[in-house]
Amino acid sequence: MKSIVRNNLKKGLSGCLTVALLLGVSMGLAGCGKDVPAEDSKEAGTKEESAQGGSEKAEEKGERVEIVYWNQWTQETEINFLEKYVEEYNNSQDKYHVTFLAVPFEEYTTTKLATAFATNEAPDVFECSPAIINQYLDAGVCEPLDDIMTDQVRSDFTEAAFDRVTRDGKIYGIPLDSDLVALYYNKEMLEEKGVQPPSTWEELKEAAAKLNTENCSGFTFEVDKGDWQCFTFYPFVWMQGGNLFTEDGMANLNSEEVVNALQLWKDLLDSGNCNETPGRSVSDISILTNGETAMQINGSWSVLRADPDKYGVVPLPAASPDTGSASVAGGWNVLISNQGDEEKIAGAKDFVSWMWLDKNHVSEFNTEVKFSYCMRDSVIEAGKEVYQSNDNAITFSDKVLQTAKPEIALSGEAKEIVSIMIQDALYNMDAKAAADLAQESMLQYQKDSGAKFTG
Amino acid sequence: MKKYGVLFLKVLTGCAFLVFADFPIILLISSSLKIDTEVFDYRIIPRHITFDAYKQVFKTLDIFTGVRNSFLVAAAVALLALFIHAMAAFAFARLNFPGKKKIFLWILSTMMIPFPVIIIPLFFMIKSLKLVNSLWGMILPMVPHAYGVFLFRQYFMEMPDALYESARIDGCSIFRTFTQIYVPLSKPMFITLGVSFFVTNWNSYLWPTIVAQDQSKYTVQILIATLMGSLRITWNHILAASVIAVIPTVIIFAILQRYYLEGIKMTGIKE
Amino acid sequence: MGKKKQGGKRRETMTAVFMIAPEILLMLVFIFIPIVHACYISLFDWNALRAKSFVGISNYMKMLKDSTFKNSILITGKYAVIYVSAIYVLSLAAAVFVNSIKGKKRQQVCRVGIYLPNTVSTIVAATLWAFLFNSRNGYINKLLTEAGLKRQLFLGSQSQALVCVAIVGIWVVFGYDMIIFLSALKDVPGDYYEAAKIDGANAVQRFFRITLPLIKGTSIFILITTLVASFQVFDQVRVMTAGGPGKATEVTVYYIFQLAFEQYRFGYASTIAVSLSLILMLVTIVQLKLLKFK
Repeated sequence: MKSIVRNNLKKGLSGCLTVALLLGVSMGLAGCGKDVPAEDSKEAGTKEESAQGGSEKAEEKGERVEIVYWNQWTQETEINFLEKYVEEYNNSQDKYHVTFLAVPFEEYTTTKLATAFATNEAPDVFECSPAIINQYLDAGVCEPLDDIMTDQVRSDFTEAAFDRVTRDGKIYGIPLDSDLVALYYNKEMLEEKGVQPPSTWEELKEAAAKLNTENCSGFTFEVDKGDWQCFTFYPFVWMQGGNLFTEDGMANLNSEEVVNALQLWKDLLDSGNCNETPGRSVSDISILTNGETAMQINGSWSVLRADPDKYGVVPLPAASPDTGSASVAGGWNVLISNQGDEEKIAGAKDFVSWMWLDKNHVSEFNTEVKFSYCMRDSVIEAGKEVYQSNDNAITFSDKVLQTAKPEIALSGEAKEIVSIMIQDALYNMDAKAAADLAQESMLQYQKDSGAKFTG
Repeated sequence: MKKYGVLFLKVLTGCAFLVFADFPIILLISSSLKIDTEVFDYRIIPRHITFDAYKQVFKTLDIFTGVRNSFLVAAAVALLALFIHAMAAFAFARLNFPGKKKIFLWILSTMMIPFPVIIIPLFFMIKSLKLVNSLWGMILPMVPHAYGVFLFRQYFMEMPDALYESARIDGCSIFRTFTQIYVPLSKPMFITLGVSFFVTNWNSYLWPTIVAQDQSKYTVQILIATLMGSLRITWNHILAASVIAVIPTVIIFAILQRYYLEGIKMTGIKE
Repeated sequence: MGKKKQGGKRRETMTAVFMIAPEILLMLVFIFIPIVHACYISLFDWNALRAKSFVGISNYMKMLKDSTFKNSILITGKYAVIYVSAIYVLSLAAAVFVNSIKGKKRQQVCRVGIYLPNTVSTIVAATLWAFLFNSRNGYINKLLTEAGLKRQLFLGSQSQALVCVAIVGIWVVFGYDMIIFLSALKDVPGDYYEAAKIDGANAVQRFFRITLPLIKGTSIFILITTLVASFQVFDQVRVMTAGGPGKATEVTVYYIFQLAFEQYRFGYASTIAVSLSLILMLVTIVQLKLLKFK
């Protein structure tokens, strides 16, 4: 025993692994600490960003007002686009300096934005989809944009464009893009089984049954709870002429149309002909293109990824032969936070109107950077070539766009009630019971909070 | 004959463990070599082998900055945590001081808090310490952890009392007993825990995403998450980036793991 | 003599304070204060964007009537049972197995091979296993149909989804816990086994009579830490099932996450979190008592 102790004592520092290693890291981090001064983080951040963006002029001119812009455009083309124009804006004037941060989508809409606002670290410019926009508008943390929305700009937008971003007659957001939902199918598979692309619910069920095989599901729709499931559910109600909320904004969840739509989804899932475990979000077209399914609910964003020779698109099947189809349009809206001082708000407005009210920027964004529509006539007009570039694009442009209604913007609690309703109907009870239950909780919630919804 | 039976059983168990553990990893590697439309084609050997996804990942993502940030964060947490935990654990295992039991229970109770709940309070804290958007903001909150104190304490307590006493009789101060007797003798434990802290923080993503306010502070895991857009997801890129992100941790483990064998040294002083 | 002893005691206390100070300080700043803050928030109605409004304990009253919460506790409990028992058995078995391999190289290969999953991040692990569990083309179903059995829905089935989610958690962690067991096993003196062998005890008897009692401390450690981890499961659920199908995998922390960051109900989310922590503390204390932990 003693010898071990002595030995170790003699070895002295050589055995002292921790201390040596600690020294190593502290040196490493001291190095990193130098290029990351732990002073006001935002400033440190923007300096680095600007160096990255290439406009080093900004660094010397410390007096420029810093504008921070957050979004979830993390794809390569999107980042390149934003970098290009943000730099152009920064070089075009010397009052403001904009930096942007593309945050991974999953965290952006959940933890990132909420934490930032809760702790008064909000970005000056940010973006919301209808799924979360109500939280921000209702909380009154946004700046009205009426002064930059000139009549000329306003008239370019479609009538419904501002429905989701208007509060008390004031416009708070600029709609950037519209993503539409339709039915994609594998041409070869349908041909092989002699199936026509379905145009009614009955045909959809039959087609799914015929196309379903051991290795490949007949039809794929979202079975996982969440925003995306709700998003793709709405059009099935609307296409019957129904709504989830009455004209005066109250719950209408146990209406015949909602129950029918729930019943359709339930029947499809119970039939065993559909994809029970897509394994990833159904917003991902690769389920179809990897041959895991013959038909899939998906949207306009996949037009360029699905080869039109192999995959076709039809509008979502209608409830019956004599009723029409419907679709839903979702997309992002640019908002300005009112948490900053006047200068920042003025700068944010200046940047936003330069960046996102410019027809050419928006058009490039929606037709070259990615494929999406826009609720601005001039953009649709300018992008004609792209919007008619292949059969699937034409289907979206000529058949789906006209039937699309804007996504319902729900508050967090209301969204939860609708999500639970769909899950209940699919897995826990019959459609009517699920709808009744949801109706009850929604009415209670609306009574307590006074919230009203449209759609 | 019986000997062969046992051997056969052993090989079978070994295979079962290895297949369970490593089949998904083989799948990960093979899928990252597939082309975009075949990622989910359920073949173990890709139909077309391509390194495109890797090239794309290196081209589109600032992987080096990401790896550097991840490495600094993970290594700093691991080393700081080892040092602090071992020291505290030694006090709890070997020293007598008032309130020892209570304080230890308090420390244990911190394990019970689910992380998502303290995100916002923690961010307030980081903000008031002016650590938003700094690597230190990702590092420091991850350092205190009851797990490490608990495990070290367990380990130190299992070392024979005589070891401590004879060192003290030799005139060694308490702190020197710790640094020169206990630390060298617990090398395997340091490595086990160090690897664990390193890997956990290398893979963590929620907290760094919240702390980072510009792209130069993104860690590898945040970069991987940026490949999952709201509507567009390129799976082969994600898988390729994941393989790249796994390599450093595997290398570190492979290098350090031979030290585990040193645990045997302890047996001599057990009695 | 008495004085000297007292001085030594004081010095010991001083050294102890000095040694635990860094840990305590960091815990105070980054864990305790945020926890107290969370408790404080739990008394408010707060959506993170607006000013808080004080509601006292009414969040707690609401929680008592919240069936989703109760259901989530039940699911968490189920998950804990599956997860803790499976990890304990698997990692111990793996450790005993690896320890019994003769030959340094072979042992190392097995150790690395079994540890490897621990290096994969949860997002990737969940994605990979979603592959394996796919109801049609998944490899597991391929094996089942190959063996003449019926294909299973796995993540699409209310009764199987939770087990599937647990398997992913187990897959990631058991290799690491094996390492911890391994280091404990290495410390079991070899002569004990020799003595038992001479007494005629077979391998199974040796395991239960010698190995298990000697690694009791490590066992308790693994049981407690995996139990705590099982109560906090969240990542895999978020990636793999979003709490579904139905509510089959809606564990409490995921429910808390949804309340906080999807519905922006931070007050209520904190309420549930505080309560979950209390429940977990109780369970742990009972566990410590049962295991006669000192």
